[in-house]
Amino acid sequence: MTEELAVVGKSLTKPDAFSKVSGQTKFADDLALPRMLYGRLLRSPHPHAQILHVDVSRARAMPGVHAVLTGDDLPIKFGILPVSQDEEALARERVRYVGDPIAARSRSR
Amino acid sequence: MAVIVPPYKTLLEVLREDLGLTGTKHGCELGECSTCGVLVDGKPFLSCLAMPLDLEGRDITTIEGMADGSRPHPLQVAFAELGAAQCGYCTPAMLLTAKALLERDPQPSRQAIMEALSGVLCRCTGYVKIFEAVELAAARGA
Repeated sequence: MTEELAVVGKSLTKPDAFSKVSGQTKFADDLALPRMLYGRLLRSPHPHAQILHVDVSRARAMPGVHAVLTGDDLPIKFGILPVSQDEEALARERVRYVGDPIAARSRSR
Repeated sequence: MAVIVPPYKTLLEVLREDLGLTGTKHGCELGECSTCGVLVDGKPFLSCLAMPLDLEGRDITTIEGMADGSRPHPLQVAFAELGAAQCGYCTPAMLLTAKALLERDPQPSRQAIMEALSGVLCRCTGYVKIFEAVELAAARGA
């Protein structure tokens, strides 16, 4: 078992090490693609409140807006953890904290 | 390089959005994580809280300007060799902050390195390799 191996037992430089130490590595927030859209969330200003009605017609009519979504567009609860299985992507009927997302829109910048 | 910028933009936004220098990272935008750190006149500076108008005529260094042309800075070499860049998000600010330290104190103690880098948060928690890389670069006379 004293055979010299090329990789096993050696401390090797990671393939992406120089990309990372030079700031060249692209993280999601660093990407700029042609015709990229920018998303924005409307969040609850209230710690706990009922949603009676969301009117997104003016947001939809704005120039450059590609989509506006509310909770009714995303009815399937998505939580992947046992503690989060009741989570909704966008609040429907009720918000439960300041910052709870209510609506989302995408537009070209 | 001289740049003309809108007065409402932070230094971080100008670097990333107007100049395309995305090596400077966008973290908390509250001055808590230091991942947006750059050097202003050689000293660590949080670009997310800096307004370019306050920095007129000052010398700003980002990670893109750390290498000497195609020759990486000894800190960059040491970080790469020792695996001190794990996910890599805090790495640019870590490197620049360490560079400022070594220029002030070329042979820092472990304690001095820890204090100098204490403001830059690494969520991978890979601090030991980072400290070791700074020590290696110092030993090589960075």
